[in-house]
Amino acid sequence: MDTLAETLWQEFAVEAEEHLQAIEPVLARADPEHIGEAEIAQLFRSFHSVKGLARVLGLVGMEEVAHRAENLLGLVREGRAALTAERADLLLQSVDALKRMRDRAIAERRDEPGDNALLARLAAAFAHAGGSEEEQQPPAGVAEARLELHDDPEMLAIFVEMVKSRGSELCGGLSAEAGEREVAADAAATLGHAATVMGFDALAESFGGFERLLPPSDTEPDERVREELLARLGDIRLQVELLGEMTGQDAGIGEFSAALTERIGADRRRLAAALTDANRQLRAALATGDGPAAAEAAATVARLARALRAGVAAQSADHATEVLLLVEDLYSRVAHGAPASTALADAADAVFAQIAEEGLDEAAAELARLLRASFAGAGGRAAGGEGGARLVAGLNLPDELLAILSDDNLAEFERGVLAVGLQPYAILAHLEADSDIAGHFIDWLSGEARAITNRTVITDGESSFEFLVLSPLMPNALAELLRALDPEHRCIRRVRRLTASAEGEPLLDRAASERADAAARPSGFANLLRVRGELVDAFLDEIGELRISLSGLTEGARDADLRKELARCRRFAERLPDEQRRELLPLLLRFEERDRWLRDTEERLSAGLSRLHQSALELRVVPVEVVFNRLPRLVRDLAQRQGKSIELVVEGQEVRVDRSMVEALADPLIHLVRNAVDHGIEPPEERRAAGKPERARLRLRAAKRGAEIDIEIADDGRGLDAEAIRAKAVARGLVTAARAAELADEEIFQFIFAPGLSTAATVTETSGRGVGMDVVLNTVRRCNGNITLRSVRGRGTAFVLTLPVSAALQSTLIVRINGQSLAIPEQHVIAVAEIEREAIRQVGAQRATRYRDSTLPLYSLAGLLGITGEAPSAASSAQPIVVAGNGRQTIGLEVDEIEQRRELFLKPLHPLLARFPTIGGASVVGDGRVVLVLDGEQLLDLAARGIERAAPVEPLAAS
Amino acid sequence: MSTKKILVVDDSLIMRTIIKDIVASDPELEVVGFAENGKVGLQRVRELKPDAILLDLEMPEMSGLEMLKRLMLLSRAKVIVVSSVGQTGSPQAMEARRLGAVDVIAKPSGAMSLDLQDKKGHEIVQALRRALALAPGPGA
Repeated sequence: MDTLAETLWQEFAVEAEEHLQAIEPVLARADPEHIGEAEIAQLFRSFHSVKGLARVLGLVGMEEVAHRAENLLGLVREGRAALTAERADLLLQSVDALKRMRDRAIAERRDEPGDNALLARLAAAFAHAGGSEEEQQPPAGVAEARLELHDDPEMLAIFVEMVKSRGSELCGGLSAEAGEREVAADAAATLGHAATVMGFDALAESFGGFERLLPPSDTEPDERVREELLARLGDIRLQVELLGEMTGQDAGIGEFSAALTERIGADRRRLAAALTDANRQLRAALATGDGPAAAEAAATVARLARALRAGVAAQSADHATEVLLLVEDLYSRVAHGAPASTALADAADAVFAQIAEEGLDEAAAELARLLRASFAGAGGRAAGGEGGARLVAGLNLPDELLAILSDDNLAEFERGVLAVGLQPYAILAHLEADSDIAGHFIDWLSGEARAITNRTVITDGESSFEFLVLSPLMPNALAELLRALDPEHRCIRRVRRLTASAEGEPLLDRAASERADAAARPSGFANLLRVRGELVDAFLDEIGELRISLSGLTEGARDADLRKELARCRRFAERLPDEQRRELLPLLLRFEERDRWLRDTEERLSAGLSRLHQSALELRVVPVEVVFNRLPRLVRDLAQRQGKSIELVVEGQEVRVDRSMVEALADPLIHLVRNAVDHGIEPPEERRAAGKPERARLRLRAAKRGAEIDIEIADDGRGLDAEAIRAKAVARGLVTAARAAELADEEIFQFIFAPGLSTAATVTETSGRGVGMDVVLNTVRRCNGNITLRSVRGRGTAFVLTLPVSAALQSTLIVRINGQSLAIPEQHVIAVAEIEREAIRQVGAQRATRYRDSTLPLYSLAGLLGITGEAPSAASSAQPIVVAGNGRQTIGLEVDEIEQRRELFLKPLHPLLARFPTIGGASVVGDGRVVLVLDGEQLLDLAARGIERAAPVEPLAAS
Repeated sequence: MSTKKILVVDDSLIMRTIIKDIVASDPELEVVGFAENGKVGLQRVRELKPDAILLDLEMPEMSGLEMLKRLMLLSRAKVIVVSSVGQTGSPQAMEARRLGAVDVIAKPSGAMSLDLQDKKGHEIVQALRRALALAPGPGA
């Protein structure tokens, strides 16, 4: 598989997932109409991104769905439609579809069409929300232009509509009928006022000026006024055209042009004649050398040309319009002092002749060329026309550079290259990047090099200059100089020597060298890295191994006995006769010193490794948000299906948990949320009757507490029914009725974690099968976490999951039984003690002892685990015990030996072992021994069942 | 008497500075703002309501011609185009005129013309004065 394609697919997979996950929680809110502007815009962008991603990989089906969703959201974003619950629902369906299509695409690597029903629903919703046919696909540029013109799209639409309906009436200002002239004046006033309100100052000026120009309605405009009116109508016509272009809405250009054309029938001939007249006056003035007269005549020509252009443009004769504009421009310049020539007058005459003949449009190109050629002040060369560059002095020069070269420049260029033998270069530089370097570069340009000209080059939204430069330096020397000037390529992007070929000789290319560098570097730079989870795990494993290896060193370094022995030897040596002492003592001192050194080094190493371990663990930590993301949707769907009104509040999404917990937590959280919605939260009528707000509140909160995390799911619903649970528990035989009566409500609540217990009257589809809570508890326990709960009848229930930030590390107490080492998780170890054997009493089948003013039942750990072997020797009078508990029970575990406290890095258990009850994990300790880690809860459980079956323990008499 | 407000729109910082200096030579004209492309230019026009605009054509984000289209609807300011592609009769110059620019002046030595003040400074000032209906200045 092509690696580039593979990378693209991976990127697509991850990014599409991210966008879709970002969309869901927002749309799933209970009150989509109140979603703020900024978030709507973000939703829009997310759909847009998905669309773009799909397009890159040719997934047309996905693209279509995303596009329609985007369109619908676009209406919301523009304020033209509200995000109702139905629309939010439809968009969520789109998200579902997109997810499915994404998964299929990744698996099968091919496109599939979108669901037609969904596409149809989206289109219908779009139309219903006020979107029009054309709007389904507005060109991107139009949408933006609309916003630039005016903030309020509705007002803009109304204004454009107004221009459309009344604009063409303005042409009535040229009419012979007073009535039509009156209408024109009125239209101008109205439109002018509207344009002012809209802030369209130029339009307001056009309409206002036009109105002011109109004579009183009973007077017909004279020739001069008519010309001016015509010229202004030409301007307005263009403005109407632009208005339509910018807004994508019909502003009535068709009607306007037609109305104008209709009115100016006679004007064309009259104007053509007037133009020829004025031109004649210009010739006369030129002949007599009368400057002012020539200027005046030229001004007249310009004015008349402008008026005529209005009519010509209305007939869509584009070429003719251009020519007239050229005449207007050139003659304006003459009027302002540019030199005129008879050649110019001749060229203009040719133009005016064509007007009369109605052949201007066809002859336009030739006439334009004539005009340009005849104008003395015109600089620049005409563009090549066929595209591509022309050879100048045998060198390939880009067209754009050529276009801006004046005759002088060109001559200088040719001279420099041919005669003086200077080298021609094109240097592309982005001067804004570094003002110092730019300064030096410009100095060089102005000094040693001969800068002929330069042009703007725009790439990636940045503008640079391409300089055409002549220099005496040879290519290598020039490259050297520029590299010295700008070693990091901040400003100077590309340098090439111009040759006969289009490319020239490349000397310096920042883009190319960046690509080369990037290729040499194994991976790109980024603040964020995407790393495969397995790599991080392998890394952590290695560190774990390292710690385990180190723990052997730790044992040796911290050997207190050895220290004592060394000290004793030293003391002994100090008492020896001189000669022997001199021999032995230094040696022993050296040993002691080495021992100290060993201890110090081990401490530093341990500390450093600990820090390394912590840092590595950080790699595995992700924000809890990842788990929370699916829940808003779930709540929304469940609430809808059950007809309940629920607001989900999520807090603490940024709190981070170990990656391994993310998947593990998903199911428990879903189950707890389901429970809350199904059983905890009442339907609106019930809530109303109870005096509660109809909308229930479900709160999901994560908070960090030291090395632990609390995740709370709290609802303000019915609360747990202690009585019902009590009854169920008794009915299931989990507790005797008598005992049940004694237990407080909080203790009764714990029964919901027992397997097989459910007090739901009906087993609903979503939950209530009673298999949930115990699994939840187990899952949480397996992460070394715990669940506590609070509940008040009628007020609500809160579950709190407490988890360690890092699941990988386990603090344990290592004990030895029957020659085997076992680890007990520290969280269940309350204390370690040695009990005098005499203090152990036998009561029935149960051994017990007095511990801190209460009775502590004792169990042989070996007995609980069923580990047979040598019976513990009764050599010493003290029995080491581990006092273990979970807050509810406390027991004493008899062991042979208590070894030490240890932090163990848990290794994955072989599946066979994992099934063994009471085994929670395994690890390796310093000398390579495998140590099984016990599951504290299960141990306590085993013991507890022992308690239940035995006769009640009689309190021991104090001894 | 109050000065006329001028907005300078050009993508090159150097050119904006040079043009500002050119305008500063005339006491009746005052540069009140700058923009490096058409989009920013439109914002400035809204904010400052200048009397005249000196406009480059080749700019990123939004070109001078695109800005002109919108100005034709939005602003009464007189627009004078100052551009390296603004040679008399060139296609861009003609389009600029069609879109309402009252004058088009060619930069003498390319997009970055360090000699703009020397070669065209006077012409630019005269064009501004004419556009703003001021009497021709000294040395016209």
